[in-house]
Amino acid sequence: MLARRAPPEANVVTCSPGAAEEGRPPTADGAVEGPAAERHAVVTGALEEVEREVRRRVEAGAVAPDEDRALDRAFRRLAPSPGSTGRLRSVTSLVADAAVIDPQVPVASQRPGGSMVKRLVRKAVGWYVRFFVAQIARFQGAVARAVAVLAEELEDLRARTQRAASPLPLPTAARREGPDRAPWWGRVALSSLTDAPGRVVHGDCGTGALLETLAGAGIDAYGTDPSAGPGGPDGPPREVLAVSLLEHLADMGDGTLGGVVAEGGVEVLPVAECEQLVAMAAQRLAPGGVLLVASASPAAWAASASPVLADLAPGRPLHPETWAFLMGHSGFDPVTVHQGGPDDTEYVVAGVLAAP
Amino acid sequence: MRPGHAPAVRRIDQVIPTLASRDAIGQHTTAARQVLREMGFVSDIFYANASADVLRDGRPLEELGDEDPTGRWLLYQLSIGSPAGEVFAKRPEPKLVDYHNITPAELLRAWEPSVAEELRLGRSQLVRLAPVTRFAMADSAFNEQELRSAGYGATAVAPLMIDLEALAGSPDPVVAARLLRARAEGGTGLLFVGKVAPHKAQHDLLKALAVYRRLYDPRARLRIVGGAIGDAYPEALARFASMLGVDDAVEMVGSVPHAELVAYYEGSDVFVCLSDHEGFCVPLLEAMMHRLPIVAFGAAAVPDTVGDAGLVLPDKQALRVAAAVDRVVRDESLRAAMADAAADQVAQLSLGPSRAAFRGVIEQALAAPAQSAPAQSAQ
Repeated sequence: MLARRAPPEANVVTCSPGAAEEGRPPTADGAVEGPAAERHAVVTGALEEVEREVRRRVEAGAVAPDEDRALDRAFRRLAPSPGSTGRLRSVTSLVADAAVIDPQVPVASQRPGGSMVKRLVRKAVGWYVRFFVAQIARFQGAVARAVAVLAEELEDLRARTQRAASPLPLPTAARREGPDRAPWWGRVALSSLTDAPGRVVHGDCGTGALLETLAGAGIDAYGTDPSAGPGGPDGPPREVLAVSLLEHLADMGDGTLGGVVAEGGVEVLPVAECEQLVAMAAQRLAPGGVLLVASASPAAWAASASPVLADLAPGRPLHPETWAFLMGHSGFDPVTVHQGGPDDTEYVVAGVLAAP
Repeated sequence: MRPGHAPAVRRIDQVIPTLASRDAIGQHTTAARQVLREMGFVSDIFYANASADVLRDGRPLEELGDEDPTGRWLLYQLSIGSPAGEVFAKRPEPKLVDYHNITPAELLRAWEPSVAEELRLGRSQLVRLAPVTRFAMADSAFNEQELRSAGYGATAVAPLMIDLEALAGSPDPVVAARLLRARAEGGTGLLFVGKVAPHKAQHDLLKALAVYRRLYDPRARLRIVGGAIGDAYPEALARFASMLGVDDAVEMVGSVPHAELVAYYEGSDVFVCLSDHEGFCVPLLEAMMHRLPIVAFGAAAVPDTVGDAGLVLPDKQALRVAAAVDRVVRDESLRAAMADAAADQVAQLSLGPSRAAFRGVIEQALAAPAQSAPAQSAQ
């Protein structure tokens, strides 16, 4: 993902730095007067009108709420696979930094006239030395770059291996809710999320039954589901984005969510992505925000999952204690575990993000 | 006036990774040499690489040590990582740095890892040069702030020295006629000039164009002028344009001669810049020269360069960009205000004041104490 620097907000509504440098007399409150100030007012006014126009268009539904992000994701998929930074970086940087040959032999000398002699010798053989130095420097520069690129490729390969997923279309992880029925842990979700300090996102929301339950209790919730069509899976009325929960969290700003509910896909996430999910949720949630992870127990999952899924899935359900450990490590406190479902074969782990 | 120093400063030479005639930093470096010579210093440019047409305008880096270091200062033009930076760092002469910003490597890593590596090296050199540099200058306040964050103690701002008069000139008649015909057919003409590269974010221009065509002007066109860095990004742009259904409305012009560039500026309705990073952005200045209104995302030094000569946006949401373009196109009084502001901005950044500012900064640098305490390093 491209890192983007946030621009100074002052550009939108305040005087540009250049105005003050032009020597125009400031007023008592520091503002600039004269034609430049009038122009600035015109430009600022236009920006405010642009903002009103944007709000009006959004309210009229002229653009989908997720359109920009969806297009960003689509474009990112066209990018070559990015390499990740890592330990190799420090080694390759040494190669790059050392790929320098200085043909200027030091001429300092402690003997009288020694410096002059060295300088003359250096000058005399300079043409000879430079011929070789230029070639060696070119070669070393090429090698340094090649090593750096190889390191990137290696890191990329490592990252891919860590999150290796079967390219085959695996059977989906089981969802244990009915077509129009919220899961047994709906009451846990309600009690945990009632005072959520922001919007709640439900990953792998399926038919949207839990979203309906949450909405019925006045909780502002929306869903993500990679299998959702333009109108959501099977046309649920709630807002559903057709992305995975991890992808969506990656797009969100820090502290922007009040709750994150993860189920379904979490049962087959590789361990590294389980850790990533908890860490990312901790970043995206506001203080007091809630992370809920709902899953089958490992034993129940192994017993009920299809043999193909059980053999080829990149991950297995974690024990609830493991989720609780990960959450505690990422700053969630308190963390509670609720057992339920048929014969208590399922669980929900709820963590509240403590204030920093 | 030369401040008294022991030994007296007799020459100030510049070191630059690549000296190129069509490059803003190359032009700035050549102008800097002229100012330094006018100040009475002997001054040469030492380059690690040079475009063929300016090979004789400077000297190869290998000759840097041929001159007596007594009474000599060195000025390094820093905009990318280069072995030249290592050679410069090891020299015994008092050192100055002229910083033009370095694109964050992560913006290019996925697309052009080799270039990204040069950028990473540049950031590393920026930090490592801080403790051995007597004085550093930057071509914008934004860049000066980066210098201070990197640990430079004594700093000042001296704008790029670009001959803006040379940016004017007559448009290529063939291109001008073609653009005139296109304009007569209707549809707003959006223009961006700059390298086709991920950090220039032409893909965001495509997004904005798609929304602008859908909501405001279905016949709008986008022309992107500039050579490409590598193949991967331009290929992805083409596929993205097709995905968005705007491939027929986008013209990837490539690098063009000056007269054709003038024709594109004069034959367009609005200049749109959505770069993720700009250390200065000379094309913004060119747009101002040609009275072309600007809509830009306020990344890095863009707000400094644009001033009130354009609408500087807080983000690149396609709808916001489209609405801003629509506003500029429809509002004649806004365009007039921006054109007046552009004239002021161009006057402020023109060669005369920029040369005077550079001269002042050099005098300030020579008077700076030898051991200016560097600020705390950023790394």
